[in-house]
Amino acid sequence: MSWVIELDGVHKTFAEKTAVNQLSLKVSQGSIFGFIGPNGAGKTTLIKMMLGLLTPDQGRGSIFGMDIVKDSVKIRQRIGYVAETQSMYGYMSVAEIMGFCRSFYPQWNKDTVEKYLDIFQLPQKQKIKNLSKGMKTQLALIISLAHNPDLLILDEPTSGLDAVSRQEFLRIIIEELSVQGKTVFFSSHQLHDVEKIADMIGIINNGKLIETRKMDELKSTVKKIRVVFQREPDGSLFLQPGIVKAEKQGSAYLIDVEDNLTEVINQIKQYPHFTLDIIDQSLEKIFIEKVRGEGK
Amino acid sequence: MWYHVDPHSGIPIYIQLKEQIKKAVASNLLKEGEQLPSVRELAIKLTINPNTVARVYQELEREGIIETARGLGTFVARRREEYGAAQEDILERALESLMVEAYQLGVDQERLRIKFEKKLDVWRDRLKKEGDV
Repeated sequence: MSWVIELDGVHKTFAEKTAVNQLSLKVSQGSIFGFIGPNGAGKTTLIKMMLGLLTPDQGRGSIFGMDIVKDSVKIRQRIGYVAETQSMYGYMSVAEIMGFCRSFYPQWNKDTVEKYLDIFQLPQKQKIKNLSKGMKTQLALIISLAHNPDLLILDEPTSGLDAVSRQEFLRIIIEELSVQGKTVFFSSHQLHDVEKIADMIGIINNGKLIETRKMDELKSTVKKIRVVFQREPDGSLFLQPGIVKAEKQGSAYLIDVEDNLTEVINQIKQYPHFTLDIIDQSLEKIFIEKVRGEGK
Repeated sequence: MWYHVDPHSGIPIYIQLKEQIKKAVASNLLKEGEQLPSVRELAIKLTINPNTVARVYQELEREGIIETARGLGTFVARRREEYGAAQEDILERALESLMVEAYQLGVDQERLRIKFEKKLDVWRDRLKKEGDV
């Protein structure tokens, strides 16, 4: 497996507050890594460290095998980045900012730029300060793709977009990056967008990475089981590995499973029962349970 | 053929897509030798991760439902006359879990047999009808 991003014990504190806490993660080439967490969890701080805009207090990281502190300039030549709020020169027109950005990148792709200006129907002569939030995001995406980056880093990119533009945005990520084996680091609290395209999920809360798993695996193994036993089972049944919680609600038991699902179900089935339902969990449900569980 | 997945369901996308293709092949909606879209095409069309589509195709190929001809594309495989060990295994497991469920629900063997035969009849009729079209 070749890793595009490798972070090892990265740590950042502002004044008294720990923003990112000893965080380690790896992102493999060709993956779309969905990085999700509540507001203020440390997502943007981590991204800024990856981009060399902030220096970690402790730990180290590399992108394409290059050090995120020392080789930041070289790394940025191969990265596209779309920030949450677009701080572009408002007095420039769309055409002007394109010409401006172009001067920084020798590998600027004019065709890609024109294709997407056309698709998004962005008016070339319009001043940036007069564009809507959604249009600014689209413009930022076009600029981020123009130098054919091998890695695209997105920080809450879809928050100002309407449903149609969001769909278009996601499709471009698949078409221009994913199917070409390029890597995407997609930070968002819009779980619906992440759920659609990510193959890996990382959940951050209070600066800590509390889960990293393949999306398929997460959905295949994290389930709720609702079972009505014919007589009270032995309490040790709920102590098996993989069960994180078991509670009685009326005549039924609700059992939260995070791992080892097949084995857990087989064990439960050994006990005579009236009904047994396995309830699928959406990413949103999994996310809420995880973040709540951490808070306790 | 019209593909559809619900990314927000608790069922992984790859399982949804795989089941859909299997069903389409079993009911002759996708016919023997028919070409499937490429991984790239399907990923873009459904706006889903290409790794997910690739996984579906790999698993379906392993189960002998589709075939990939290098450079030509992916096609629905010829319906098997004889089942290999892998197919036998899949069928065996499906039957096993059916019987376990029936037992747990307190369905006796006779009722299970009648249900099973009724289902076979429905299936046979459906295949016949689609064959006529």
